[in-house]
Amino acid sequence: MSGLLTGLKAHLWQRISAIYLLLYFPLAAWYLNQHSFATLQAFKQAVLAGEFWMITLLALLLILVHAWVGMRDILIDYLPRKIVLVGLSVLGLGLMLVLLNLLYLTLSLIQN
Amino acid sequence: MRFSIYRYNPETDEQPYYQDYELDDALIGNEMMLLGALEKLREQDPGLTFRSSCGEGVCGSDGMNVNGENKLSCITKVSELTQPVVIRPMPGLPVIRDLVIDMTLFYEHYHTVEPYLKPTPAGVSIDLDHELLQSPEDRAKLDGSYECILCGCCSTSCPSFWWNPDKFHGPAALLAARRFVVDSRDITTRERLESLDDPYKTFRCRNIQNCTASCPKGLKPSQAIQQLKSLMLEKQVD
Ligand code: SF4
Repeated sequence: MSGLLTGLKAHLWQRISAIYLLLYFPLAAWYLNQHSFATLQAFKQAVLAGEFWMITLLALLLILVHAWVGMRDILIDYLPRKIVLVGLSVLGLGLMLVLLNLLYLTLSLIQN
Repeated sequence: MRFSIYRYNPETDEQPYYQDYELDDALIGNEMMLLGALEKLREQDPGLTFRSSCGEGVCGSDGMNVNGENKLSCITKVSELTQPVVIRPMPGLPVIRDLVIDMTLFYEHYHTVEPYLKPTPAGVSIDLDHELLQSPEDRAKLDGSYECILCGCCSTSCPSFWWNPDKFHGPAALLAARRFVVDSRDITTRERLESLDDPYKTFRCRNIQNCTASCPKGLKPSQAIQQLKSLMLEKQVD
């Protein structure tokens, strides 16, 4: 398991992502509040405008990092030792799928 | 005064059980410690087994779980306990008999953090003609860790230690690790921190704080663990 964001690195990334998300959410709420979302097109425009989409994409990636570290800790704490690896693999796969989905969503938003 | 005490003799009992005892209030003074009461109960029942030694909160051998909290019986006043006083062995480690637990794992973790000064490179012996001087400020950094008496009250009250007793060092060993990491005379700070950078050894600590709450010497192992994490960060970054 070592190398997969464990120990000190995990500790650090959990804090970095937490701080980023703490700043991101109020900012996003404030920014989105300036726009109306009457149509899907209007929503896309608001999300893709300026640098906001980059900031948002980074936030989504950091949510994944945060989820990996937090969930991994919970699984290691609570799962019986024999099935910890299975649990971690399922978690890793699940987060990978979310990541792929996210990339797909981003690409299709940009292309349209 | 009523007591309910965990009993288990692996040679004769299939299951542990609680045995009720009664101690005449006239025998209990205001200042009597729980260890004194246990000794009186042992006069009634010579089979009752527990560890004790100095009787003054220095040796750390009489840790036990009293009314749900880990305490040293020799510095716990009987008059301050609610009845019936429920006494169990400290949780999380195997019971040898009655209130006596097998602390091998606990000591192994202590051993693993190399709780001794390493002031010279490996293979170089220390110059015995010169003292290893330390400034008063550097000496003060050791306060709050060197006083540990290894009673085990902290580690055995820690859920993270219950879950991974063979892999998580536990508060007592990490407090000892911190003591040598911050010692200005030790030259292996980085190696020590590197060996502690592991998802199990240190990072199972979830800041539950049971350790700090249960330490009979008033030490703060939880704070020491947080400090170790910060030091790891500093050493990685610099
Ligand atoms: S830190 Fe406190 S509770 Fe833990 S072993 Fe040392 S003296 Fe006992």
